[in-house]
Amino acid sequence: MKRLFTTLTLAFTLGMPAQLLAAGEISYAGSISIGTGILEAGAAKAFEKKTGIRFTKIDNAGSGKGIKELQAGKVTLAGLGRPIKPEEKKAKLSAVTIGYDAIAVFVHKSNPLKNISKEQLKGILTNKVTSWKELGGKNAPIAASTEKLSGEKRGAVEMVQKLILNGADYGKAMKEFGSPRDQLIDLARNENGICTVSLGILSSLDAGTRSKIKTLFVQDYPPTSQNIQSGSYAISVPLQLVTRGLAKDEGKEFIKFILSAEGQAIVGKNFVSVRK
Amino acid sequence: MGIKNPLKSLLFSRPEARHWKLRTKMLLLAAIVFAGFALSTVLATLTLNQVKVGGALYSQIKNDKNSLERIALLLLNLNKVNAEVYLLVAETDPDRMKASIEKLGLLEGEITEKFAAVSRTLDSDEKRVAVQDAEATWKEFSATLAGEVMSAVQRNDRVKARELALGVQAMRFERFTEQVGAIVDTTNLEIEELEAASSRTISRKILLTAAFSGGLCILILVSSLIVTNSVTQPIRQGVDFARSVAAGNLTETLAVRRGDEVGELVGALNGMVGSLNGMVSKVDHSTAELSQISANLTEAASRVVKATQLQASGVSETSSAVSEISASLKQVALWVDTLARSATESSSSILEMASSVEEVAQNMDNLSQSVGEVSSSITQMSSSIRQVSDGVETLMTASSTTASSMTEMDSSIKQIQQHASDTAGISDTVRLDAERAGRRWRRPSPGSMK
Repeated sequence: MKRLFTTLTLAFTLGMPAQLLAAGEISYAGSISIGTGILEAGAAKAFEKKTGIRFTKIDNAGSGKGIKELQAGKVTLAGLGRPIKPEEKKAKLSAVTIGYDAIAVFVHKSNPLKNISKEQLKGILTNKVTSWKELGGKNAPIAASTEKLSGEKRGAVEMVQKLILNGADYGKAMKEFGSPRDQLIDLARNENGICTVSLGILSSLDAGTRSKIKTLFVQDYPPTSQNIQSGSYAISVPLQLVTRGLAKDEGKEFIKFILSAEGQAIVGKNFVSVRK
Repeated sequence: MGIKNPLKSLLFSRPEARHWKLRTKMLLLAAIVFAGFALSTVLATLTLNQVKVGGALYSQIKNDKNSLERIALLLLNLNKVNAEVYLLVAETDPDRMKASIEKLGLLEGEITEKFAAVSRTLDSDEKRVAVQDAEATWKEFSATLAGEVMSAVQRNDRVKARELALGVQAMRFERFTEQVGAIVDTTNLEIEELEAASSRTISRKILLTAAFSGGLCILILVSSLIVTNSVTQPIRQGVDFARSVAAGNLTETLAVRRGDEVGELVGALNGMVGSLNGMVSKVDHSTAELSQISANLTEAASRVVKATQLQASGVSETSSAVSEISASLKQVALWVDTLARSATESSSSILEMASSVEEVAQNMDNLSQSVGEVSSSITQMSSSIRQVSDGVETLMTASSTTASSMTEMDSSIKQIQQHASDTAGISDTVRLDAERAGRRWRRPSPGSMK
């Protein structure tokens, strides 16, 4: 009987991903907005304190890589800074919206521009509009930047391509950065700069940097919570946690926590919470 | 008669099984069958309960599908609103615009009701949050529609109306379509997983029930075999034993040591055969005694015959002696005649002597008559003794039936033998007396001869 139990346990164990073996542990890979703006901003610790379940890994590798790691069974949760794709749904991935982020259009504080249309932004990001003068500003070249375009696509890049570029590629003259935070730090030093970065990243910056940058209205709507949640703001994205199949065990526990009032308060620090 | 087969040894020789009564075994078998069928019924009931109409799984799937149906109706109305908005901003005919606005008003009311209906059917906080999220977007859409879009249409500002409809309203529409779609996706996945999980569970339960039923059948089969063999095997041994006893083998016993009813039966059979063996020994002993008695009777009868023959011989001799006496008496009578003739020629003393001789003759006649009577008696006695001999033979036959009567008969015969012996003695005495009398009469006294 004991031998049978051992055999069954071994067989069961070998068929499971390693990270799911340890009870009371959870791991994450995906959107940097969720990773830095929610998990590392207090949600992971609060969750561990409440349930005893510890985050063993928070990999801010981007939405695409997160999904791959999830499908490979390397993590419990993947984070998406965009809506889940139809092909991902077909792969039996289940997404739960835990909040909303906006891809804010950041410019230097000294930039007089307040509003930008989708068409104007598309022109800048495809390098067809190269001077602020074309937008009613000063005669200065536009220094547009983006997150890395090579490798696994970041959620913000994908969202901009979908919502602003209508599927077109970024222009070749874009300055690429490894992280959106670096984009904003660079922007603070560049009066002609412009970048599309997750609004949630703003809180990770120091006050000095924050004071040197500002967000533009898009299509006449500012990136307020209400506009972001309702989609009135043109480049808003849902923040989603994805699991293989319906969430179970530790993953389910965390989703339940993050949708609770306590979890949503943490989400609301940097993003728009889904629970009103 | 011991059990030789190893399998049988395994099945029937276990001490704990040996000591169980047949009734206990039968009750145990019945209990196993009952428990097995009860467990099978429970498993089957559990399986049926899982899939039956109205069961937990059915209710959950039905509830999820109801939610999907209501969400689908909600999305239908949302699509109708969106389509109607596009028609409205393109409409130039005032009557159609008015009809379109009225239709949008009705649709808005229906959508508000449907959001409430969908919220009621949802069973998780996660889905309710998503619906509230979508409803918030809808409210914003509805507010912009009723305010900015309608007013732009009414003031005939078609550019603004189109910009709103194709811009922010379109994005909001896409947003709440995503939000509601997320609920649909989750619910669909939930139904799929529920169905897959229940399918796996049911398969497992069916497999378990089948395995259990198979195991139960084997258990019942083995138990039945054990109980049947525990009854029939000793009965077969009993039959062989009975045949052995019937063939006369009363020294063997049935070597089945069990604590059950069969053990009691075997004990009773062994006891019965032991008692039978004792009785047969007693019969043998009685037969031997009877044979001894019979031999004694035969010997006694032989002695009786011999004694009778001896007696007959004595009687014959007695008769011969009596005949001799008679002849002597006749001689005496002749001598007496001679004497009488002498006496006629003699004196009165001789007459007196003649008278005396006549008396003697008279006495001798009497004696002769007595001897004849004795002879007749002896003849009768001889006949009686032959009858006794016949009776002895009958008695010998009767002695085979009962020993005691034979013993008594033996005793009687001994007495008869004694009597016969005594009679023979008497006969001898009579014979001797007759011989002595004859000798006396053959030798007349010297006085009388003169």
